[in-house]
Amino acid sequence: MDREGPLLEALTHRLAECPPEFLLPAGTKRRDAEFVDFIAVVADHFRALDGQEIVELVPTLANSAETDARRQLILISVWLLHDEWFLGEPSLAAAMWSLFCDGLSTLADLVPAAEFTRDADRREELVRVCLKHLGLRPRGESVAQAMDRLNTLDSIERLRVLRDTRAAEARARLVRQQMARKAAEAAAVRYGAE
Amino acid sequence: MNDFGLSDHELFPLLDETGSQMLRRLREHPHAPRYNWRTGERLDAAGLQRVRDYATAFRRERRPWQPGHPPIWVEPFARQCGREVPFYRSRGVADFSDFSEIPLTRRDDIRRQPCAFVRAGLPIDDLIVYSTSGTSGTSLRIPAVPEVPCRYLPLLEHALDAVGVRFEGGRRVSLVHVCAQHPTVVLCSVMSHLDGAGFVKVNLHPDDWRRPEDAVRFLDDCHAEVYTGDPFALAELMKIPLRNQPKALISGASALSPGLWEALKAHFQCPVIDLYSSNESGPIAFATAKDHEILPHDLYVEIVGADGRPLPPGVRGEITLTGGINPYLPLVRYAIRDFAALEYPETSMPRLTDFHGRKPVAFVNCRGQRFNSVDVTSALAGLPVPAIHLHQRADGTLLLRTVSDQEIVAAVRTVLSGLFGAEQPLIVGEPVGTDRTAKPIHYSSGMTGEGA
Repeated sequence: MDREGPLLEALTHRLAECPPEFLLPAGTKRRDAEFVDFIAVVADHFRALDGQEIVELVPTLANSAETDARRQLILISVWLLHDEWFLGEPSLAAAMWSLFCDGLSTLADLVPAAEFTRDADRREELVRVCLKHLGLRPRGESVAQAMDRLNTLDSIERLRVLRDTRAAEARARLVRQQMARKAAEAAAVRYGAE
Repeated sequence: MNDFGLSDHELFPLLDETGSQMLRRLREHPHAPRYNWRTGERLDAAGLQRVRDYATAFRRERRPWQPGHPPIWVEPFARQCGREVPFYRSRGVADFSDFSEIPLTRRDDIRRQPCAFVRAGLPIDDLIVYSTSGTSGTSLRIPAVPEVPCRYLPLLEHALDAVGVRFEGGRRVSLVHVCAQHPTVVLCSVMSHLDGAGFVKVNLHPDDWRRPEDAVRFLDDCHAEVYTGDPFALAELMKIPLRNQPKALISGASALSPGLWEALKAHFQCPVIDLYSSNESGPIAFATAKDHEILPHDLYVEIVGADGRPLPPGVRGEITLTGGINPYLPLVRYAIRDFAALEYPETSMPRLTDFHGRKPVAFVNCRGQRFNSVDVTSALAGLPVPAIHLHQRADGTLLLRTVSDQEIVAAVRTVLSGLFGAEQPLIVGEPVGTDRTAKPIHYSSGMTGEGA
């Protein structure tokens, strides 16, 4: 997050205007009309960034992004990063590739892709996640501000807390059940005098 | 009989020939009490090994500390609890960089959610539960495993060692715990830690024996190495004409007055230890004479003021505990509602001084002078009084309940008149010990609402 990137608002606005085609089921083979060609879109993006070496790798990404949700979120991020500001920064191509390969999977598994265009908080979260992965922060923000705001929006962290809470509740239920057993009530001999 | 359907094999997984003989002897004794609770030590080989490891750690790691310098294990222990124990985690205990700023834990926290004190990842297949009687407040359900009560034994051995007494164990009945209340749990068991030695918990109340002469015959036949009990029960034990004397007595559960202490020593011709312990923490400290020396190696004791901050040495405040004998109820700054000061000898464990048990209750005499319940305890210290309940009614009248012995009642009356003034209205109620909620020392006031 050492460098300043574009204005946050410009990017969230761009996400809000994401064309509906990017939200169609993402695939690699044309099965019907309601379909977006994943490989073509991603490859076009890297071509625009002069990243020919990466273009050749795009079919592998289509295989490794295993679910529709993951492919959709990659496509939405491609739309976001196809903004003029980024197209003027070809040195970011490798970091973008890394972002698409493993920077979005957990988020895609948690939140329906369409939310990243419809919901204001999710739009901001996706922008900040992408910028962070590229070593950028929104223009006009300090590193601390950018980190703090990302933490506030962090869906992954929220889910971790939720999962922990659920696990804790399940454990408490189990402990309660164990404590209620007849064998537990029998206790064991004690040698104290309290 | 409270029988929970557990077989002898489940109750005594380590029973050997010595233990079997002992168990048969205690169960089938012609003068045995009316046993009413069928349980055992429930300790398997791995559990016994862990008790032995605990004993080794106790011997190796018991070290004094100085004010402001907690033992080295304390802060990591609190942080681990903050991460892994749901109750402390919810309080953010791991985030406090200053241990003495961690908020105090209270009895009510344990009462409300005992499950939340069981650390994540601890096995819970063998979980057992102790329900406290509630004599020091509302009752608690305490989760534990069978090895937890067995961990008391190495601590008792250390306290006994301090007065030159050692358990022989094996074929002896090493411990008899006496109660004098009705009703209570009456049971017998054997202790693998002491090579199958016998343990009996008896109630001196006549209802728990088949014939009046059974108590003396059974106890004489047991010839216990050590008796444990609360001061009231030990005072009752003095009335039983035993031929066989124990090697030592251990008094617990409430304060032992110096008068009764001397009377017990003279009667049984043996050392008497006062053990300060709680259901929540296990043993805390023991006294062979005046002050109470901190006993366990894994219990950190602080004295705190009303703001929860530690007080300087010698200043009286609330006893606050971290650690404890029970891994299923780890304590982090557990304020126990008992009050004392701490002193720090250079070469031995810290000592509780000016220790008077529960939070003081204020009494007021006809002239408007206030008295602390500690004053009452101190005034009565020279008398062999095993139990005293003093309540001040809203109209100022003192209601005294003690034992049925009229000489003691008269002596207590004289002391209280001297303290409060001869004109103070004082009536004597039913003797303590005739109802099930009796506790040996209890002060309360209808004027201030304290101690209710």
